[in-house]
Amino acid sequence: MRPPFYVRQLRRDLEAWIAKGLVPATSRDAILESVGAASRTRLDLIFAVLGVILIGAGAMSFVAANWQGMPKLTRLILLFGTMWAAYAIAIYFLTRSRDLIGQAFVLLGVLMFGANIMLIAQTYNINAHFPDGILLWGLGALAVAAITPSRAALAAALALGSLWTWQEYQYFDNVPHWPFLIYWAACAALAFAFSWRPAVHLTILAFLFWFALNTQGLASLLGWTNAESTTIYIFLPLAIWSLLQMFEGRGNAFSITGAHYAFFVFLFSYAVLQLPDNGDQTPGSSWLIFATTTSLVAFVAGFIALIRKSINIVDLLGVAFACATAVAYVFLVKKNDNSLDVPYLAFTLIVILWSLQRGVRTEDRFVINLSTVAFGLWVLYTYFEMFSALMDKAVFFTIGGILLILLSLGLEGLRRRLVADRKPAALQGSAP
Amino acid sequence: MIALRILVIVALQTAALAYMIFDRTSILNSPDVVTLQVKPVDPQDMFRGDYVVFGYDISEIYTGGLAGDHNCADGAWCYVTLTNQNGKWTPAAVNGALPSHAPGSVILRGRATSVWASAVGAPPTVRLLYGIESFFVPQGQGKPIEDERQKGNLTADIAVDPQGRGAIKSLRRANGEVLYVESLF
Repeated sequence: MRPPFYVRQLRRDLEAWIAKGLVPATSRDAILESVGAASRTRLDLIFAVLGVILIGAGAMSFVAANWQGMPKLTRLILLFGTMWAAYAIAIYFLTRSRDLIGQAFVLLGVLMFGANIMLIAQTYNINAHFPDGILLWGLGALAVAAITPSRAALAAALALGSLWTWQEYQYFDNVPHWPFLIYWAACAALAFAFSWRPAVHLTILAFLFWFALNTQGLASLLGWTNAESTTIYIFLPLAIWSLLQMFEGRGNAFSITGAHYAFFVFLFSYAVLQLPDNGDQTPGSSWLIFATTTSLVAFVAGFIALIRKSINIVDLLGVAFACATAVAYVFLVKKNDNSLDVPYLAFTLIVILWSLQRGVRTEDRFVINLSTVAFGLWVLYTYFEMFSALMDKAVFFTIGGILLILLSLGLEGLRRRLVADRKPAALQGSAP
Repeated sequence: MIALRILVIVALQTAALAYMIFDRTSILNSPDVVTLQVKPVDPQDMFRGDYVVFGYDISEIYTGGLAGDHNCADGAWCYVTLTNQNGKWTPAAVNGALPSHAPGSVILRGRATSVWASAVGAPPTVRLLYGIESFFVPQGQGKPIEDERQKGNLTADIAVDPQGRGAIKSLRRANGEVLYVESLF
């Protein structure tokens, strides 16, 4: 599977080559198939999915409207019958090579399975641990995704898994919710096997969602300060990014997309590092072990990636700089002390410039765009932070407005120049 | 092949749903039944749609004077042994693990939602959820049940399986008049 920008370019190039007679038209599908891009999101698929959702909603509305008048046995026959019918229709279409509509009815079956769980629980007054109902639904969707196989069911399984872990977090304080990681790993394995880019994005987003829900809770359990907790979002993403650089040469969807997400989380978290402090506490030993371990992983993985020529020495220095300054911040910051604001604003700029040069060097549009936006936000934040107390309010806001307009014009021009004629990273065999 | 795969899914999902029903009906069929007085609850929260919310005398138990290890941790399962005292089922023991069944007693399992003691070393008080605190009733039947509950004139017959899991089998007025019976099918 290749990145979408590569596929889009390949489609355009193929049409041009076919028009010039360089490539026979009959080879178009085979070439696209070879990069995992033969199928396109089609309007009929969207309509089919929307159609089954409407059918599902209609069936449930009918059941709900007539619920009170029905004996339990009739309800059960209706509930099971609707689910079986959805799968029977799916079999009908799939065995006749009508895959799109068949998959849509598989999705309907998954939806009916979930509705049945809820309605049976209601019918029999099952007051169980209610996130278990969502888990059961998710496992049903996961089974469908693995056995059929079905991409839509995998997307549903990821969404349901995220809902499950959120309910455990929100209603039962179940932090950290480790069982989700087992569920997530199964979803990730399927997404990897399917080589389906939306599922890769969903898988990573589901992990980030869990990460965001659980890391603060875990840090609280460990007694970490706000500054120590914030560094989780710096060290871990940076370690993951470095590890992914080691495998960059294989160019799979997870390494490219995962590296983008990891770098985004790292960059954002590094930029806000100067905001939290340690209160009256000193850095704890558990945090020090965590910081040292993840920094070492990031550096060693980065070093291996350097040997493999996936990154260069500037990147390795960037990793070392980010880790060292994050550790130093936690040791140096004091309660209600702003003396580190200016140095860390400067350090943030260094990290942004590292990111920008990396984006330009590797011709990676995502990193260039990310860095440009980060730079713009950095300028604005610096202006507000430095000058808000020094200027008259009218002058301050006027200059701020002018600065914003100039930034929007200047940075967009800069971004366009940087990404102009850049080939996607995957084409160059360079890091994302 | 695809048909076979989908049939496997249908079988798995049907089995999961059927297990939910079987598990519930097995509790409702249990020969052990205790009758509990339903307590009035805060009218602001008591009726959500067709759900009626119930509280019981055993929803909060002071373990002083009761047998058992009283080893109920916050969020963990706790087992309450109930004995019939002149027609009223009252707690006789509280344990952190399922104890052996004594003749004439019924063991009900609940999840401890909070545990506290007035002083260090004092017997704790445990607040428990047994999974019988809310009940879905047919449209129109909620209000009479709610009225009886607020008058303190409502009892619930709870079927209890050997593992201590409870399920509401029927709702009655204090004089024994049946208001609602949970049918199996």
